[in-house]
Amino acid sequence: MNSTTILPLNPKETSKMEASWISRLITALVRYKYLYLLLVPGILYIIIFCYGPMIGLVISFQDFKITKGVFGSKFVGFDNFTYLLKSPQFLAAFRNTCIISLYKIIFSFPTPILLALLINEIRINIFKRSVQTIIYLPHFLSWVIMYGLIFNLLKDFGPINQLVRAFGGDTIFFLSDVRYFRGVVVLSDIWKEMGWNSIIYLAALAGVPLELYESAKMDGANRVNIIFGISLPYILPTIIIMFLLRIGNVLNVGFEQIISLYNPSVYSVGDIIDTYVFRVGFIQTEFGVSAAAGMFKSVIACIMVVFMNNMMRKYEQESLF
Amino acid sequence: MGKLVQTNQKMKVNIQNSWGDQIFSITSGLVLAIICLLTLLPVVTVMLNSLTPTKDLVNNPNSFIVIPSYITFNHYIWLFKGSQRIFTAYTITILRTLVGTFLCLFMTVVTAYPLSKKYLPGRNGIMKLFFFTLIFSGGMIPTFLVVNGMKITDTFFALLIPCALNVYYMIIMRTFFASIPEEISEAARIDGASDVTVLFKIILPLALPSMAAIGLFYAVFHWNSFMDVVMYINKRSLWPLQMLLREILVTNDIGELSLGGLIQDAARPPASVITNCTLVVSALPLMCIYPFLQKYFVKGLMIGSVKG
Repeated sequence: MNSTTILPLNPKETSKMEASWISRLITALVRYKYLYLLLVPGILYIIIFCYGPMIGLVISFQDFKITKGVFGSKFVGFDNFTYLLKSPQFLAAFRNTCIISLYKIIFSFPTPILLALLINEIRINIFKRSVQTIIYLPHFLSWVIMYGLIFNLLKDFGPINQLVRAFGGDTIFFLSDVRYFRGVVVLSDIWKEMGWNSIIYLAALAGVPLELYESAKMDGANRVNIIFGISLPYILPTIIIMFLLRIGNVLNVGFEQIISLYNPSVYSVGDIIDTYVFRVGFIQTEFGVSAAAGMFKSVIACIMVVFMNNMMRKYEQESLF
Repeated sequence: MGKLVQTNQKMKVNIQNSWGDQIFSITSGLVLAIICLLTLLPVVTVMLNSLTPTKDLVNNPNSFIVIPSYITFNHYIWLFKGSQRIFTAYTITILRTLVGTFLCLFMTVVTAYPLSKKYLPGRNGIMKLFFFTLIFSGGMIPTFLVVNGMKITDTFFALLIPCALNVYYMIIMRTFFASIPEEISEAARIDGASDVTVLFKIILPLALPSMAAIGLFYAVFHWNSFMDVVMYINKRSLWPLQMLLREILVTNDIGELSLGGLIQDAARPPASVITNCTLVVSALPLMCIYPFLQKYFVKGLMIGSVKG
């Protein structure tokens, strides 16, 4: 929108262009006072709840005691960080974060794409809509409810274990066995979010011009040819952008999921940085160490996001030509 | 198959479906049907279990799915009659979802609207301030210290104020506002309306579909959120449904429901059924609402995918 359309054009205005920035600021504040006023709550919010905690990160360089506060606690330099790098629990949590994240990228990332391609092949509208409604359902359940459902499925007299025993196996304690826990995490993540994540790909698929399909059919292409020759290449830019976003969030492996599903017997494979931060902070009340672990994650995450955003920008520029 | 032929005729392509294509349609349909069944199965079994009479369950303690001899709501009546806690928790959850969603939507709209005005001096700088919060965060403990420092822990406000704005949704909303032609608000301003009047009287009615989508996102967040309760709320009388459910599931003990005198009932249902009833009542409201808002949230996600 051209700015001249909303400014009243009167000759006095032009002289103000030369005025100092202070007077320009005042003019802007007066002219747009309502717009700035509307911004006040939002800006206050991020200053308090986003920038406040960032300043609060100084406690990761302190031997922080909640009774003494940020100003009364003793500074200890990088002690908390060196403690972390020597702590086997933290290193295990870091390793688990990377491994679970990798599993999720390998298994949960492609599923919504395949699902969207399948749904796109359905020509009967009522069936298509019902499928979509059903697969979106788990997204609306909290991880607490999901845990209840998963527990019902996997408990010793649940259906899965009944099947295992019917085939002559021994009862498997999926949620407390280190061999199965990560599998449960990845599968439950797929179950909960694959439908929801397919929305974006379905939207992209809806944009494929019908003529493309028609001419391919004229040329005698079958359905499989069309999927791999037209649909998939058409949504490839969306896939790449979603992939870069996903990589940028590589350290976010699902705090609510893990904290709902895990228990002490699977800490060795299931503990992630977020749950480590939570435990050390809220249960052991080692605020300094916990904040340091959180900062460690935030800094790496920030670097990843910025790096991936740059990749994305580069990709978008290249794909324009 | 009749439908398939029909749609092809609609597309005015006169090509017969080959055998391979037909087999492909059938398989893809079947695969999707199986996926839907697998998605629904865990939910349906829990629901069915909660509706099965106690007698059936006691007789088959080890089978997962018991085909009920009749459907009964007795366990729900039992749950709601016996427990004061579930009422309190339900009230807190509903109150939090209503007030929280309203607060979040208000904050989102009043922040997004000015930032959608390209002519607003300082807009880019302020936007950068918001964008930065998306890429870097102080983390759990410092945020807790801020909330604690504000002396709102263990109050209802701790469930509302620390999550009063989601910057990502604000950016989606801003993209939407920016797509509304400036001429509309300009005409109103010439008639003497202030920016606030323009926003609430003219722009908001146009933005209702996006507000429905983002409102649903916020409502889902508030209904389902439990980690902030774990961190900020110790007082059990302020626990929402999810937190109560979490405690029952983790401790595997329905004692948390404070079922009172009824706990001594002779025909006491197994604890797992009461847990399942709590599961169902915590999930049901959202499960009933989202299908009606489907077209809105699909649009909402699509606006979000357009770079703003």
